[in-house]
Amino acid sequence: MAGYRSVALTIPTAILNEYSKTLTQCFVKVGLETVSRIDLTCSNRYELLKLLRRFRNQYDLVSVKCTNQNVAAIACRDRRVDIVFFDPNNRNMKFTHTLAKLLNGALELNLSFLLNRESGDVLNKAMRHMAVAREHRVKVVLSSGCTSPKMVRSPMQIRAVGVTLGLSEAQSAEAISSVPSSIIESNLQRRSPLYIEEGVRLIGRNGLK
Amino acid sequence: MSKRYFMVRVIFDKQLTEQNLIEAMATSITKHFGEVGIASINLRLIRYDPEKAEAVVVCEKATTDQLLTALTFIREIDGAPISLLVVRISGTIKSLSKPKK
Repeated sequence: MAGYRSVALTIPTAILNEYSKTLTQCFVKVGLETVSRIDLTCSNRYELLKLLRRFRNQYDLVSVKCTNQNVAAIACRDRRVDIVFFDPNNRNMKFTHTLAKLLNGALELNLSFLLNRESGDVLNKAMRHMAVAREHRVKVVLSSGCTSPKMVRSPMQIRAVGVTLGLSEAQSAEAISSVPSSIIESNLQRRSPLYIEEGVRLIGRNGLK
Repeated sequence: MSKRYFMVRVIFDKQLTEQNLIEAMATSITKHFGEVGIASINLRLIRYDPEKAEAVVVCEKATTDQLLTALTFIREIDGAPISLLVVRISGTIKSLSKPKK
């Protein structure tokens, strides 16, 4: 289990219902909580808004891969987006100060991009992203992004990578623990039948709890 | 100087020797932190059990995060994928093998 308590599963939309239950059971058996996650990759803002309307209510976590400046600006501003992430291998896209000011959710640093990097420039770019995030006090999420068991690293290793890339020790520890758990918790609350709107929640109604 | 002992779980499909393991660690440290980094980390392999696939390594306390990062970035040895999972860090070897409270 490598020291984790919960796992966010990125499930393709086509197999959401059939396959996800089997997949979830595998993690539940070893004592891990699971949350469903979707990674949206769009080429323009219209596509992103359309996908957000369609999938926001179906998943616990919605993340957007920022592939160009337009998509990044919309993703950072939109409150339905929980996490934005940038591929450090993509030379044309970076997390700027403007985007940091717009960001409502959290910035994700995916360890898989760093593990599969092609050049040392990728680490440099990740360091610059972390410097911007630190300057603007943006919430950061550190994740493994693993697709195979060989890519799994323990939380303390991921925290150490955050520290090496320029986050403070406290910020790095929060990025692997309290920040993701608070996002998940607020989204689960939002998806509950007792949720009315932000700040308004049904306390009880005819035995409904 | 204070030390930190790491319990490392090795996830690797092939047979791995002590020599290969320490070489991979040293190469990763040199690649990411340079010669000065490897000197300050002062890495030593205390023991490696191929049957349990567990190793114990030691470094200087101040360089704990550097060693953790270097171990994180090791992803293959001789072209085969590997994962070095740090399962526990301790100040003494004795407490490393104690069960968690």
